[in-house]
Amino acid sequence: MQISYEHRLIERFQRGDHKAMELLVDHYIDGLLRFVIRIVGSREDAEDVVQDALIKSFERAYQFRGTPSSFGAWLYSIARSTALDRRRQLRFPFAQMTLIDDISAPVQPDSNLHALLWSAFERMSEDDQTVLFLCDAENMSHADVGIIMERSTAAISSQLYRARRRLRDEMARVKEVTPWIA
Amino acid sequence: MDCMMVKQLIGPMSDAQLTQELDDAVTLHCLTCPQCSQELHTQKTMRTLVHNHLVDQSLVVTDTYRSRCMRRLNDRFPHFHGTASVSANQTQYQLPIQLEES
Repeated sequence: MQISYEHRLIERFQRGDHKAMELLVDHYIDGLLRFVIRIVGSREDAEDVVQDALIKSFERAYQFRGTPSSFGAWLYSIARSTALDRRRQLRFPFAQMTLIDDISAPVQPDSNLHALLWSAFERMSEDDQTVLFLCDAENMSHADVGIIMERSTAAISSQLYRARRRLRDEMARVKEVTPWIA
Repeated sequence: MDCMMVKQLIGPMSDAQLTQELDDAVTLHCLTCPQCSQELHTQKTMRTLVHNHLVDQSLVVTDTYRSRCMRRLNDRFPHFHGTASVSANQTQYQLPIQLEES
């Protein structure tokens, strides 16, 4: 969603336009669920978190003066902190959480490459996973990911660069110790 | 442009975040530098891999869940109901009395 259009929707929301809120929810809700489910590990928890994050976001949207950031980055940022709080309550480390429930279901079960990538990805740090997921999988700009992760744009670019290298190295390592992956 | 500088630009380049001028300069360097060329290839390959394999596009919210979210938002912002698109008949939200014009 273009930032100018998004800002117009926020202004309409601030004036009390319900349809603007619906359009924003529809645009972000699927991506938010995919993002949060990686952090909390189960669909049920992720749905609770997304719902709470949406309410918090719209409650605070009256103060939103977005330029130059996007409402989406702001929304993801709130969802991330809500999800991390939930995960702390559940007391599971990130790596364990990513192995359970819906998210371990492979998109292409017969693909060795897919399995190799998932195995390597699950061994990476939470920050590396988040930056790879948001930048490369969800195509977010480095600036928006910086807002979500509370870092500078340059720091995100640098972390993404290193995360891709670590992912490649990890894939090579997993391939060496996993004979069933041809 | 030396390898050190190019390495800092390869990441943003693979995300199409460089100006045309910088993009051209990195490309030119990579044509004659096998190491940087390999690094650029790695960054692009990993980006494509992650994009193609880590997003399960079939993972979407259900209509029931979406409705539940909208209901909770409607409850939280009840003053919005006057402009709700779920209403087929907007007139039902009009004030029951006519306000006097000042």
